[in-house]
Amino acid sequence: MLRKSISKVAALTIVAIVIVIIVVAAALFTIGPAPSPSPSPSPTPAKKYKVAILFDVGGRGDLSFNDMAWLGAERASKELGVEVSYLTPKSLQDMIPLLESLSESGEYDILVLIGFLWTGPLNQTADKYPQQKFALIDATTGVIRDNEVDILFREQECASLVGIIAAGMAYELGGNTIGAVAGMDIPPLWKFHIGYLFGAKYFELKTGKKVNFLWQYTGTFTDTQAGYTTGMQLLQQGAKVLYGLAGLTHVGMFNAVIDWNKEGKGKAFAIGQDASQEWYAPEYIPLSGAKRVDVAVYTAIEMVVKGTWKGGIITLGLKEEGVGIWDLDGVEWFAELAKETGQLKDMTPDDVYNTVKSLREQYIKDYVWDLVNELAEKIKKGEIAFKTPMTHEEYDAIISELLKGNLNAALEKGSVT
Amino acid sequence: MMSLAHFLMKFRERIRARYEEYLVITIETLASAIIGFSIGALVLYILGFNPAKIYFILFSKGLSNPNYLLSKSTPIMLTGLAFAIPMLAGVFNIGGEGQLYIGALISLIVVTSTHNPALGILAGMVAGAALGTFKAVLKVYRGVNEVIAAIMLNWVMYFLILYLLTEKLYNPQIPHESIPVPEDARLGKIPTPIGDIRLIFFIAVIASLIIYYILYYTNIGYMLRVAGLSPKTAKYAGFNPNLAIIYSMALGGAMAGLGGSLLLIGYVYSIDTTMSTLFGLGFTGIGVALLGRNNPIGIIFSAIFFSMLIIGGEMIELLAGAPPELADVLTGVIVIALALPYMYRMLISYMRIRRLIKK
Amino acid sequence: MSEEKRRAVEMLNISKIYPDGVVALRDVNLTVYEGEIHGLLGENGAGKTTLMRILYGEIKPTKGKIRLFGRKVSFHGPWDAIRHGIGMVYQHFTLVPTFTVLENLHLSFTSVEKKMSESMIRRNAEKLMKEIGFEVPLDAIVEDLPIGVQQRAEILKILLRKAKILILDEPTSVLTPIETRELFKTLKKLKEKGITIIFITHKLREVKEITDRVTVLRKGRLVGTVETANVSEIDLARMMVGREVFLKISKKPAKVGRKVLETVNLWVKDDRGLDAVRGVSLDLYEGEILGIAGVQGNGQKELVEAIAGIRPIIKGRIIVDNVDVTNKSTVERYRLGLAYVPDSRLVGLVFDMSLVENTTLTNLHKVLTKTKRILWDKASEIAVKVVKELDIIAPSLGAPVKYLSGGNQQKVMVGREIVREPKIFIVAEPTHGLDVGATEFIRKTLISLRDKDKAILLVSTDLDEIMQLSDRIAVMYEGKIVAIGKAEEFSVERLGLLMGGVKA
Repeated sequence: MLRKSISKVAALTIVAIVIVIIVVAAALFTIGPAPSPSPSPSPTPAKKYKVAILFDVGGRGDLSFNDMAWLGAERASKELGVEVSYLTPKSLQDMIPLLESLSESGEYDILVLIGFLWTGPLNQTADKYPQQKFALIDATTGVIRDNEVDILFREQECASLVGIIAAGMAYELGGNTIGAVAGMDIPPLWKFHIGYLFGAKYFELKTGKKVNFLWQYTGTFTDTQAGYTTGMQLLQQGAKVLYGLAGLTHVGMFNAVIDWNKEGKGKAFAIGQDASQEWYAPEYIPLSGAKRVDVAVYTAIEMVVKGTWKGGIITLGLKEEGVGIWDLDGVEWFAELAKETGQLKDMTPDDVYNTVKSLREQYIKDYVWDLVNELAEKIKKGEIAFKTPMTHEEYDAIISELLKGNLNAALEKGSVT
Repeated sequence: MMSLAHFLMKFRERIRARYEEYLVITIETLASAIIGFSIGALVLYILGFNPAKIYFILFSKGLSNPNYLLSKSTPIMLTGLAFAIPMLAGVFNIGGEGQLYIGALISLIVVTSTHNPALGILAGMVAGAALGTFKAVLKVYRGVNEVIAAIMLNWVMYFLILYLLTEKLYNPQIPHESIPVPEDARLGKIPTPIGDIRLIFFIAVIASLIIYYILYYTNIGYMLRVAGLSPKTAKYAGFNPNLAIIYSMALGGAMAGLGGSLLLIGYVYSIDTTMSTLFGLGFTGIGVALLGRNNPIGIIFSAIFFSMLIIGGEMIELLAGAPPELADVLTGVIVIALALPYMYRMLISYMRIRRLIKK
Repeated sequence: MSEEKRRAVEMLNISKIYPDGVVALRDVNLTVYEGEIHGLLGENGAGKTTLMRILYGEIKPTKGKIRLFGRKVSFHGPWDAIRHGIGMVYQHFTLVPTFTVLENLHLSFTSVEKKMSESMIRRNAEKLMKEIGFEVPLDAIVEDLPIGVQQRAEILKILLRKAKILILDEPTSVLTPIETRELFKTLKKLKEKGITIIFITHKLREVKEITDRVTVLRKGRLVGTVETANVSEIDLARMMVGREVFLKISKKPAKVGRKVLETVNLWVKDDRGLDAVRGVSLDLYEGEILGIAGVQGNGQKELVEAIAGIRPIIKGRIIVDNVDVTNKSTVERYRLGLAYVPDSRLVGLVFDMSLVENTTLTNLHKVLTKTKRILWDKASEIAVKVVKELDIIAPSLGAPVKYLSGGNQQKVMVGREIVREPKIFIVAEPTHGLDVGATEFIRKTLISLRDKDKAILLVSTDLDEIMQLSDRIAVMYEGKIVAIGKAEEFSVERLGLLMGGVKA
């Protein structure tokens, strides 16, 4: 009995294998080889630089951080003629072996690392491969090396502008409370907190109108449910404008704002961050803060191609167009990207553009824009600069001073009166 | 020398005694792998990639760095055991994830305060075992379904760690990481002919062998397997099937806890606040156990195989421009192909019925 | 009955063979006329329930045809059967215990007719109850109702779906005598209304009392269909248990020694929580075989499981070789010299484990070191001894026992107990499903054990086996020993009557 069933299993196995091999072989050879993905490149006399973009865990498809990195790299590939490859690591412990193996291969002129998770792994490998150039986006190892560039953003600058507009919109919506749904309690978020609160207090200072300020950490960048719940809580506390600073989590906050409006509980708006997120619900999201990871990635690649490479820390702010507020062209561009990936469904990018345009005209008054431009000018000219807290204590101290109305506590340089 | 020869002889006898069973398993596994890879090739072809190129990258890159390969296989080998041991006793432990978390967490706390890696590992194992036992006790005495308990506890552990990482245990220098394991308490590497290999891999292999010994050479393992295959028979033989459930969950939990603490003390040294270091290792362990047919020795190899797929899969994106999910698809296809042997069996029993009817 | 009566059910040449080769039914024919109460009589394992589950669409027959009112039908599942007007009441009811009766009725309609509203169902149910003349509180929670009323709710559920054929699987096994009388009244009313009833039972008195005709099955084969009025209970008993004795085994007269097993007023519950063993007191002596006869489900299984310590007892004492083992574990009882061979190989064996691993099951203490290591070499020696002593044919010691034939599997179960050399053997259904050769071998083995002064308690639903092997016989009916005495005091007919609940 046993022998029989074994022989049967063996026979069936062989039959199955043969069938599969025939099918595969037929597919491979009868129909011809798979279409080669890239046509033979046109001969370029200059050296073709090779760039590897190493994403954050999670990779493409977030319509935000990783997608913007991709955007910057694609722009570099078009404008600077570099050859770009991408890689998505599975976890933190994969990062060191990946850096080691890519550095050892010597294939790539620069490895661009997206996101703070790469900090530790880079710190442990950068010295071993002095010939390999690294760019770390939106994080820093805190060590200056010839072969490493850390590109940071001055998030305070864009958040302060958002803070002014949020306060102005809250008044147009018949309230005076603004809020934010934040991710985890980590340094980049501290900077947002300082900037956003500064903007609100700046509005208060210049207009004499009181602004009630709510800030809530959810502890996660990935939990939409937490974003929804926190968003609802803040809305119930009277917030008219909610700033999303929690990655995927604040998509839940968007949904809370949408439901709040649709259920007739009141009128409230949401503000996105990093990428332009207006397309997600153009009737309720009139604005997004910009953190131009694409500019950072492009900047890093440009340094290699143009030979201006210099190791160290670079910060990008309003002046370098590394942060800011997305203009309507940016809004439309992201709406198009969302349309392409099928995430924008019932609208055309033009609809998004027009809806957002009219929303901004209606709810962001000229006096608010004046305040925004005034502050932006000061920042761009370098008249004022924000502090970047190094410890949680320092951060707490700045926030408590800001809440008391002491705006200058947030400033490293210059002052506002 | 004598004893080694004696051992080998016994081993051969044992293999011979179960020769046919092993033959069936080997044929089935190989066939499944071949079919899985072939279907994968078709998928790749349909998606417009060159299967030969993708597989070349998968294997060559996957196997290029032995230390990376074996280090990566360590936690999933142990979470594989965490699934397999309870499975043999008839319990479905999908809580390897949470048990790994708690193992990593407790051993981090112990090792940073004592600077003693052995103590840290022990504490991690005890913590994992305690969590496993807790679920078993809920099941046995309160009738709580172990799957539901495990899903809930996985998240409880996830958020507990997240809370501690962001509020208490974060590294002041690198706030997105936990305080690191002290330098003097880290487990290092061992030089071997294929390069320096992390000690933790050898510990995991030894753990697998010990589990094999427990399962197949001790009364507890025997009792556990009998209870898993037939609880009624266990009762008849005077074993308590409930006790088997508790033992198996304790043992499985200890293995997942060991996985968490080895990962931490011998590999990553700290946990990041996105949990990418730990997340998913318990669930991958289920696939590892299935591929290894719940056999501790098989699990050693299947963990290394999975590890190769994961490592090679990452490079597919870089070198062939394929989406990163492709590697997951391939893994899935191969695991599904392993279900095919059951189809063979059904076919055979069907043929047997036809014969009986004719008679 | 006249030939003009319409045939409600015709089952022609029905066979059912399971994948593991067990033949449940072979070429069975059944004809039921419209508006009659038709009894289906047989011992357990005769195939009554299987036949009815085939009619109800739950099991597909391996071979055979079914006609309803002359039209050929083939069912894919019970829902098909329900649509054709067939309803079945199981021994275990299919009501949701935490729902009210009305909610259960509503639930049962969702699979057939989606449009029925609860108020419509209530109206129909009340009308129907008035017609048949029985009462079910529609708004009561099912689990609060007595079993008899639950059963009525189940019948009501089926009738509401306009069933024309009602199958009842041993409906009286869960009822008190008063409830049984009520049920019979209801059934007679239904018959007057023209509903066809198939009544599965092994109780002879009930057959005589309620049925018009009766079909008798034995071991998966049809014995015959008779008009109830024309046969006596004795005739039915003979048909049910059969007369032929295939094997003659010679045995020496018993040399009875001292008492080694005693149960005192033992009460045990079954899995459903009902009293299955009700005050059984037995003595078992060295060198004798005490056979316990009875139709399956009369408490024999619970009795032997309680003796082995697998099933908790409610009341009473168990004494093994002058030691009170009432509170001792199974393993301790085994060590005191008790051996138990269960009625099912699914209980006694782990099919996916090897022969060695299976012989180790009850011999584990012999092969363990002090450090609780299993010495597989020693275990193999035991297995070899079992194989040699019982002449077991196996592909290898390492092959899973599922590859052994049923007879060899049974030999493994018996053999591993013999090598332990216990004083007492409790053996349940030792030859169930075995071929003639294996049966003879096992029976001879039991006789030779008895001749070696072992005490044997044999539980069997096979009367031939009981008659052949036993020195003394006890008959169990509804959890009680209704008769006990020397084997010579029992004829097949008398046993058949006693097993059917008739005092004889």
